[in-house]
Amino acid sequence: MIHKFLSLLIGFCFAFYGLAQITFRVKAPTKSDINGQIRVQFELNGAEGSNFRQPALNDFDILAGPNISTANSVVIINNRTQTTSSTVYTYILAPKRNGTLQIGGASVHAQGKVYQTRPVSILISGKSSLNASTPTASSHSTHDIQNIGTHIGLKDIYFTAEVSKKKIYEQEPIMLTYRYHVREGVAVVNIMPTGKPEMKGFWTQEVELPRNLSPRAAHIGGKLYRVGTNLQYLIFPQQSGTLTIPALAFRTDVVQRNSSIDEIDAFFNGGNSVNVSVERSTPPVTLEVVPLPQPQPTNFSGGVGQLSISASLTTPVPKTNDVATLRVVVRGTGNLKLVKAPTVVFPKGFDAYAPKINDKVKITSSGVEGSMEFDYTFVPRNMGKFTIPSISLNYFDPQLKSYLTTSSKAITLDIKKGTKAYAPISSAKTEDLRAIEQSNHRFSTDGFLWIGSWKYWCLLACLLSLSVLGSRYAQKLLYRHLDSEGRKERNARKRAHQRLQQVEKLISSDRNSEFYDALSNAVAGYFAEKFKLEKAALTQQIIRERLAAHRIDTDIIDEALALLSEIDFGQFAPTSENIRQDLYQRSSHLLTLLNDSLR
Amino acid sequence: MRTKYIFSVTVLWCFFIVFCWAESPNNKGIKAFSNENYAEAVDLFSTQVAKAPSVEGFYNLGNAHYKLKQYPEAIIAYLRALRLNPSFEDAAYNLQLTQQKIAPGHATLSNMPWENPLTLLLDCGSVQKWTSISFICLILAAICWNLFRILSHTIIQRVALLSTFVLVISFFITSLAAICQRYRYYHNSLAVITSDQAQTYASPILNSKKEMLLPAGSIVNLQDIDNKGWARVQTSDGSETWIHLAQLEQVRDKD
Repeated sequence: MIHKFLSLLIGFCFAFYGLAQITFRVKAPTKSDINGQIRVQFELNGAEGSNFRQPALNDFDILAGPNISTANSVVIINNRTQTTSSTVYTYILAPKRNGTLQIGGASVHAQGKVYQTRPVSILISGKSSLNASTPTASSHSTHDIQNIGTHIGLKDIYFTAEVSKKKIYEQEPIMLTYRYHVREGVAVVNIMPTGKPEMKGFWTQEVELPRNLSPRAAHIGGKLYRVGTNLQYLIFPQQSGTLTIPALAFRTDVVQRNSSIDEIDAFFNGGNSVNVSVERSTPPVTLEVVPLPQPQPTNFSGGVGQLSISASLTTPVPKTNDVATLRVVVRGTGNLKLVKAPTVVFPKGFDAYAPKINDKVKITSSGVEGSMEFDYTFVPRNMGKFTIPSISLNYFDPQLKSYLTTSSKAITLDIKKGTKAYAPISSAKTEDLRAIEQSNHRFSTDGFLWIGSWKYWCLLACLLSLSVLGSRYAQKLLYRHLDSEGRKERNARKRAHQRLQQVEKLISSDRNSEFYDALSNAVAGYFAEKFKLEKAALTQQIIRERLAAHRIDTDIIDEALALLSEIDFGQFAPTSENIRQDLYQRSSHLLTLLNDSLR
Repeated sequence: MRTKYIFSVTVLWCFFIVFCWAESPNNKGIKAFSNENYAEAVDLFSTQVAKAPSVEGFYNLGNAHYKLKQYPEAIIAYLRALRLNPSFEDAAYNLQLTQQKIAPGHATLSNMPWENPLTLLLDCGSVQKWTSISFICLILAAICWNLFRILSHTIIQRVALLSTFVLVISFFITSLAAICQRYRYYHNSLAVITSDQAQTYASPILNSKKEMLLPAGSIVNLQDIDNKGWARVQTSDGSETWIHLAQLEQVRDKD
């Protein structure tokens, strides 16, 4: 029991001792990335401090600080109140380089004494990246925001255009960098150029900048600025003399805070900051471009820099009529993209074609490097050993200030007989172009044969209608064909006519009975077929009735019956040719009359 | 009065005859081509196709450009002729010949990655040809159907009925082919590179990663066009890349 009491008592004593002790400590990370920001805090506990002296920060850029925050705590033990204070001095730093960087000791006065922190080391590592793209609204801290109405001076925000060299040779590449400079305490968003930079006399390539990088801090004219890069170009002057890169205007929004708006109102009403549009221009930049030394070699490739050339086959050694590719690579630094395709002299008997160009050039902040690949396609037509001679490249080196020539190795090829036939199209010496067309038919999208046009639908409707009508007509024809009785009736006149023709032949002959038989057959047979009766069933009464039913005139009926009677009598008594002729004509006339009436 | 009438009709007929006899640009172009005035032939054929587009007009224009060694323009003209009549063999042949002039072993139009057996089958005929075949199938189907109804012989009836069925199916298939060809005519997305070495990019911004260089005369298939003048294209090796619209010319006119 006593032991427990003593332990508690000792614990409390240590607590009081701790509370009563004044301490001044530094809190910092032991390692960081070179692109990161480091928070360093100097914490004074147990007393209020004064005369804070910042440590040596030679290896760092101060992005922010010292920010001072204080806190008070009250402890009540056994009815005794103990109040303690703590003060924190915070810095945001950006390392300047890799390695082990030192933060010196800071000092502060508290209760008549000077307290110091120990120096600390931070290990910085990593690859430094380029500076920022456009900072966004969230990239500034709230204490950077000016109050609304604050004048934005020329020194608060300005832009520069910097070149890596001001005196250069023609075609020599240099870096043009557009940077913004924003004074600490000014918050900006949306930095954009108002147009594209016009660089007459230059061939330009924009450099792709990495994204999401923070601006770096810089002391300029005794003030702290945030400096970032907006645009970067690699420019190649195409002519000599004094060339000027004109000014480029940038527009940005400066964020200012309206303090008169209540914080809570601002929270619910979309904030209390306003954007003030500001426009600034870079100054023009003048460059002196020196012409390349004259005279230029006749085979000058246009290359300026440090270049090399090599050549190799990208396909296996071809056989005859095989398509092969010779790759010529121009490598190095300089205006690679503007180098003319090297001249390759292929041996006789090789069909060669214009090269295909592959651009493998990288444009970075340190310049142009990489290679340009020229793929020459060729087709050997003959067998044997051939040599593609070495390919030379003549270029200008601005560092040595002279023209240099570099060459690739010659390539020897042993062409064997191939299996492919002579390609008909590309091999013909005379062009195989098909002849021009003499005709000319206007193309139309609303003709009868253009599906979907109104003419097409009309034609389709016509065809379908014709099909339906044709089908009905065919059916009708079929019925008529199947109706034998009807067919007989329809053909009665035709048969009667045929029979009368036979009768006509017998008029002048002596065969009286044959004549009357044939005539009877023609006339009586007509009535039998028309009335669909057998000939033996025909009587004068039936004929009269049937003809009357067809509303034939009584005179015609009497004439028909009289004719039939005369034909019957004539079979038994010979008659003269005239009488036979008369009978024939009357019969023919009668049948014509009846046929028209009995349709 | 009658004399005046006869006189007026005679004058009108004379005008009509003279009008018919007046040389059309096509005839003048052919004459210029025959006389090896290829530049003049290009102008005349261009005028002709601008006023009245025709398969033969574009084809002849392509030939004239070919003679002047203007291979990208020749390729565009041949492609326009083939757009109107995909089965025009002479234009396909001359197109292949022109492509070989730019680079041998170049992918022919039929080997392009955006072509497939169906499109190659459709290209056996133009819209008009497929429509004609569909009408012929319809007429034959009507005839066979009537034969089926008229004839009494069992076997011939069955043959007629089967033929009707087959011809009706053929009518629908060929009509569908004509519709597909019509769609492809209006949605032709081919383009030809007109710049000497057109730079392509991974994204539609100038400072994005640069990809291949396409020589003039390369045929590409437009996939997409953004509102800043960039086009996403598919090249003959199947890859997709971005290129500026100013460096190519579309086969489809602004019709």
